Amino acid sequence: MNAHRAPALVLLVALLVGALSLGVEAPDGVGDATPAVARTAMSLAGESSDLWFCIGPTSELDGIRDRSVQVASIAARPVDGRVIVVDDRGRAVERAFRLDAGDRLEIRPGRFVPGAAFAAVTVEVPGGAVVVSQRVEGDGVDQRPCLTRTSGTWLVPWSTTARPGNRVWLLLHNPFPASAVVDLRFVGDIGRRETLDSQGMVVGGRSMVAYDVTERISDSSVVSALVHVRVGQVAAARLQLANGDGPTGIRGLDLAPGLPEAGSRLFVPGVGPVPGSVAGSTPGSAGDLSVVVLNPGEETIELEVVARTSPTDGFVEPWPVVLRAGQRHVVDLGDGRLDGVGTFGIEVRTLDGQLVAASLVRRGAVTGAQRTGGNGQAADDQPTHGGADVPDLAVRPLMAVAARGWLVDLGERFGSSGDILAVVNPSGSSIATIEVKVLAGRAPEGLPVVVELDPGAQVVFPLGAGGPVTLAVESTSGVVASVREWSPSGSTAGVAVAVAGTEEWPESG
Amino acid sequence: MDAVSDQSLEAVAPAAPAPRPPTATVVAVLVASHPGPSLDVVMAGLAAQDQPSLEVLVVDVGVAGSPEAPDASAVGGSALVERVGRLLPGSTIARMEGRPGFGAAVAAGLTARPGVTPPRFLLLLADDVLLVDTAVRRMVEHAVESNAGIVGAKVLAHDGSRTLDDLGSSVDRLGTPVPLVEPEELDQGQYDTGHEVLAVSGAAVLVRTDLFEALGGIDPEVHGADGLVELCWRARLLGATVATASTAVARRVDTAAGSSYLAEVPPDGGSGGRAGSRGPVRGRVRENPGSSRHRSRNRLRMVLVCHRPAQVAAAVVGLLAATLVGALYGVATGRFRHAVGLVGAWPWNLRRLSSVRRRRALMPRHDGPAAAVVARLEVPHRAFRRVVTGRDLTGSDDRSPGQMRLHRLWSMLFGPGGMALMVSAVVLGFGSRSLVGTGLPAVGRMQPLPADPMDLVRSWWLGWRPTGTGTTVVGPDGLAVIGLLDGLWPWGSDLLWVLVVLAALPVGAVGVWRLTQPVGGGRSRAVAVLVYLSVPLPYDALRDGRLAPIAAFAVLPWVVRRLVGAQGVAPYGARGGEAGPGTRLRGLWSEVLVTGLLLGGVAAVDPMLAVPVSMVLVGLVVGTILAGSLAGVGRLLLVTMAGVAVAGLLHLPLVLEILAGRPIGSLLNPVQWPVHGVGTTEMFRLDTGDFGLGRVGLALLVVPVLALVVARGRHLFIALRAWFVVAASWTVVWVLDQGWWDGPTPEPGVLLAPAAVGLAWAAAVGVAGLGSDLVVGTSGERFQRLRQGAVGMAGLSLAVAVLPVLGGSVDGAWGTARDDLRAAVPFISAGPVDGTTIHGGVPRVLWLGDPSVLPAAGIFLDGGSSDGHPGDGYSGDGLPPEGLVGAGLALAVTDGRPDLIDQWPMDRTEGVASIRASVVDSLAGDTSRLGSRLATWGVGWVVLVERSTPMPQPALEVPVPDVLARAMSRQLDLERMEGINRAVTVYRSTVVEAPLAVVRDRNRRAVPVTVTREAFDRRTLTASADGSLRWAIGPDGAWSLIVDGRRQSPVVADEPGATAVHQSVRVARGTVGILQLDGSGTRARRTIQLVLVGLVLLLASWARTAREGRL
Repeated sequence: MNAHRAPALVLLVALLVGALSLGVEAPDGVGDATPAVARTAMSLAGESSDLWFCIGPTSELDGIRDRSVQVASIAARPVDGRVIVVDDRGRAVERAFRLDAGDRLEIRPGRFVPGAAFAAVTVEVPGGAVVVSQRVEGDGVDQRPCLTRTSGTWLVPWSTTARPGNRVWLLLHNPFPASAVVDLRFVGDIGRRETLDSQGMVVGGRSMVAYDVTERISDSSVVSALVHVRVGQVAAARLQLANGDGPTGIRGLDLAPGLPEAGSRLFVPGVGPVPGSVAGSTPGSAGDLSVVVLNPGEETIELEVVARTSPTDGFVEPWPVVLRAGQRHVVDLGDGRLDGVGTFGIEVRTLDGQLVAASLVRRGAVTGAQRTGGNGQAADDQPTHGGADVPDLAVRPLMAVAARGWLVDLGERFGSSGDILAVVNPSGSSIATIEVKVLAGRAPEGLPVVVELDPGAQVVFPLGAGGPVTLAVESTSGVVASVREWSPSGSTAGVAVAVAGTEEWPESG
Repeated sequence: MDAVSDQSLEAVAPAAPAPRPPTATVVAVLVASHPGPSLDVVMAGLAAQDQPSLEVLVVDVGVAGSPEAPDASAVGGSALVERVGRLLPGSTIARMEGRPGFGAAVAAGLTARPGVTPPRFLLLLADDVLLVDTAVRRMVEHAVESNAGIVGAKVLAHDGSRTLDDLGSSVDRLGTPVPLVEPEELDQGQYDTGHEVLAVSGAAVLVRTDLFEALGGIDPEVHGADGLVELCWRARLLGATVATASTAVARRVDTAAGSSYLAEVPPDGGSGGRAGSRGPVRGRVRENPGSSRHRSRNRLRMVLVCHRPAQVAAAVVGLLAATLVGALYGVATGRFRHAVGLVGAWPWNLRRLSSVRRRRALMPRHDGPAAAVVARLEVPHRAFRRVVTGRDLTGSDDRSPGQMRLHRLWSMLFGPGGMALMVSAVVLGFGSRSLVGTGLPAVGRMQPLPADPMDLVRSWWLGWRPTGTGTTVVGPDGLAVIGLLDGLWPWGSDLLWVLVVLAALPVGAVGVWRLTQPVGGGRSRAVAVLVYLSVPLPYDALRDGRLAPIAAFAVLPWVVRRLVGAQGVAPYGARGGEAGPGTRLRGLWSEVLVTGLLLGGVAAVDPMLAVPVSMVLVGLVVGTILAGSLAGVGRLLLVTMAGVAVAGLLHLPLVLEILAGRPIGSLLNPVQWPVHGVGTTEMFRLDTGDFGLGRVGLALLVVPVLALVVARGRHLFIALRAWFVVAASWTVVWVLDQGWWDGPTPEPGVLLAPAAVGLAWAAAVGVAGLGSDLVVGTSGERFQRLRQGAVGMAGLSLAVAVLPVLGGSVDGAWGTARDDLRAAVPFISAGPVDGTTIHGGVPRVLWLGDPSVLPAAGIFLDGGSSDGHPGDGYSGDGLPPEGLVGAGLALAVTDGRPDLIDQWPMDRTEGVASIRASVVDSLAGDTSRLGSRLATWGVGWVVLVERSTPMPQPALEVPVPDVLARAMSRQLDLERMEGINRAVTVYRSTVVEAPLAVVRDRNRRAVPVTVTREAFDRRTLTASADGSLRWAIGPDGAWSLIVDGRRQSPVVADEPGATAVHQSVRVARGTVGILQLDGSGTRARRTIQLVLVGLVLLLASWARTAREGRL
């Protein structure tokens, strides 16, 4: 048998060369990025099942007059759901409900768990299309959408235990059957603080824990908290009660949700103007607007706080910050740079891509003179009700997630004035076309509208007073929407509710 | 014609024997039938004898009425007279009509002899034996000197060599004559002294006349050479001495007409002929000469006549049993005459019992010493096999075929190849010692046998297994074989499973050994085996718990050997040269059937091995064509295609399923193969894990590459084919590794197995080339140095290549984990065995993770991306947005702890589809009550698997996507269990329902029923409440409830009390029913399959027998 060597060798060599030279590039393995999920996101009708987690006090807690959870349907057909109320004593009560199209349901958790000072409510809506928010009234008011996600990490940039007159609780809710184990870390005025009972804290299945920060980190003007869940996941919020007796004179209540993740770009639209920055107001008054930035990481971070103003207001010099690992910093926005600037947005961005968390704090112990000013014109960012002092504490966690769809559910606001819906386009390069629609209720004046937002720009829609209304914000690219409300009981603020599945990370600026 | 004065004969026979005075008269009786030219040679030999008083009597049989030459009697007869007169003047010619036996012919001839003086000796001579001129005298002298009653001659072969043809025979306890000499055995004087036989060679027998008369002559009923054996046997019993005169030499004459009259080719054309004239004889086994019919008759008659009374009964019983088995054997091997002969011997002998009694009357009743001598001369071994097979299994004691084989094996083991094998065996045994001692870890597909291993058989037979909530798609047929093996295995199932898995290494090595047998000598085979065993593939597969690559490693060398044998190009056949050692030439039908059986066997191990087999075929064809030849390509393709058809016939149930619409891809386990999941250099090193030495592992390629450089001629032809098998394998793996094919694929290790075989094959050629091709026509000193350099390089590369294996053997377990996931989830129990009772049935387990780390086979969660994917049929509805589900995430559902029965792909089942949809919904955020949805299928545990073994054992580690972890963590009715090894995350359902339960009408709660497993396909249920008894066991309609012998009608969907998902029947509390699987359809298909397997085996056996008969 004679065989020819050459043709086969040529082909084998060709195959070898081809294999070594024609292959596709190896994947870099970065493709599995964490999907963007807002801390409060809801599904539209029939798309998905939603779980809402509402954590807070009951009227049994001193300083709390009432707490209610509102379940509002935006579905076109009846919605079935289930409510589970748990308290910090391990009690759990479960009830089913049916909500007709467009109907609303109000739940007072304290009635399910009598005697409990704190209660967490899990609202389970298999078909979605329901918005769940809660309202807490006491010496002040707080009204925001409930959380829709649990997480293994929660960040609370701001609270205060300054004596006297301040009380703070960190509220942790574990809605799942298995216990969760949580480590708490605090950053007070004298640095990082940990206590023995804050490590390995067990949050039993289907229960909640109210951790009294005031007792552990006492007399600290700013206390930041980091929650790391070793086992399981929890939902977290921080309750701040201030009676105005403290050195800062702040008064009011604030039930701010924790931040489930940090980001390199954080946004909050619809801020300001700074008290006194407009004609007649007192510039730089104590307790005005500030941004608290928390570095949860292990490295020092360089960042800047940027005020996104309208073109007519001109450029505002950013506030540069260098933040060491595990530390927090308070940036006072009332240093005069924002004088004469109208409503603006705040962006916190790190210069090296590291992740931070931040909250915008309005802690105005505002006097009547400040409220009316010399010419009687009220500033946008302060209450104007009556002549007596009004509790005014509102903390707005900055958003790391943008979305192409937002929902805003406004209850009765006949006593409100100056409520606004603000939308910012976080993109540094693309224009966002937004459309504000009215899904239910009577449309505020001037709505609906279609607006084009330039990169980095924001738009503010006055909402006025009125009955319940549900608005939708649709955008061609990810935007951040926020609502700010005032009522005779005080002010409150929060983001709108993202539409699940439309979230995205803001593109790098 | 052979010269009588052949040198070899001179060496045997004294050159100048001293003449002695005549002392005895001898009458030579030559029985001739249709005498041809060879008779003249025989007569010339007689004429040349120096025995002074030698009278010749020629008996011419078959003169008239002969079926062969009915008209030639007169002409032939006169011609014979003339020839005898010319060569042996004075001789007597006796003529006989018809066709009597040899004994009858001798008796008739002696009757016809003129004269009254009886000779002292009779010389009974066949007509195909040439006596050397001193033979008769020496026989007479031997008879006189030793007072022997019968003396025989040493008979050599006809071809002029010193090959022994016949030196007499013994008999075994069942009366079969056993020749003394082996086929092709050379005469080295080894039998010249001291070897006693029961009977001398029948070619030339000198018998004392008085003894002959005392014995009543040759039994006329015993035909052929057996007549003389029988004569000698009875002479022995009379106390006469039977001896061979080693100095009396005869030589077989090549008779043009065929066989001699002594061999008695029967008129019916039975398989006659002597052993020495049969053509190629395989091994130490040769066909029994003479007609099968006559041999069988003779055997039984000799037993009846010659055995002592005490022995007769035992021998008859033995013969009866052997007849039954032999008849089956004859039918199985296509030797129908043999079978008929065995059976027909009984009535034939029964009709002649009176003559038997007469013959026995001639024998002494009590002759202890003579009987003892006969008993001593009996061959003690293989009597049964001789009857059954009809073959002469020669030798006894230290010369038995088995011992001869052992001797050959022993001498082979101390050659270079044998040493390599022994060292390999030692290393493999050393490296596997811990595994043998403690068992295999339950990793990946390598899960343990079921609690009752016979479930594997039952599953195969009934066509159902509990995997995936119950499926009718069962594992490969090989599983049933393992179950059967376990039934016969006296030790533990774990040990059996270890040995079955580890056997892949030696089986593959022996396959390469056989593949390379025709290529070269022991060194070539040794290197091939070393290269093959140095490939990291099987060790990687062992570590990662992948069964398919191990199976491919074991079977592919045999497949390659079969296919190159089918191609038939030298040295694997006779095309283009001589067949090499170990090559068996087969006919086309035999090739097809044997190939079909092999492919069927491969498919029984794992049907997806068809893929690497196809790659081998492509490689062989392309390699042949590129070598510039088309030799055997057509035959290769024809045999393979026909073999595939035969294999398809053997797997008819599977083929029918596929024809009915089951996707081919569903035969494949889900495999996640990311882009560059293997890597190009790793592909060249055949390293799919971390067993190898990194880039140093490329040393494995050195010797195979040498083959391409140094081989010539047919070695080059083999090298090119081997390398294109390698190229086919690498090409496919490379294309898949680039991500250019996203359809179903086998595991990388399976696809690389052909490359492993090809490299080992080429390595053998490389060494053979170094030993032969490189030295042809080259003698320069420079070239010699080059050759020495090549040899050194080859040796060095081999030394490097085997290092990982040597290193891996140190821990005794090839680096496998010593613990498995069973330890991580001890609360998940194994499935029940027969007789156990459990409330509600075993809670099911949902396993989620990468398919390579799951402990059971499942389906892809994302539905796959092409037709035929295991996940097909589930895609579409409710899928989360693209990218939300981790690519390649799979789910598997098992009844409790997984075992081997759960390791093969399953088809779509209602349960798995529902569970998958629920999981997908949870991933999409559509449900936060996954536990409730899974509860309808009895899922009690959800396990996210991230490592194939627990920490800190070595393992494959593939984290589950965050989206999955998040989705599971947000379920309100799944409780995550703490304190569990981080290899898994376990969720316990807080709302699990029993798979077997009664759903109460009042509150729709599922109350578990009491379940007793009576058999694999039958459970006894006792209802514990009133309501609808439902069983979450798939598939729909396969199970039915029987109460009091009556099959219960299921509740119609819209009836009150009907359960939402499952079939149910109305029961009252306390009702006892039998839940029965309907496996009748599968049983029928399996029966047909078994019949087909038997038929093909039979045909293959017949085809082989027919081919050997022609050869």
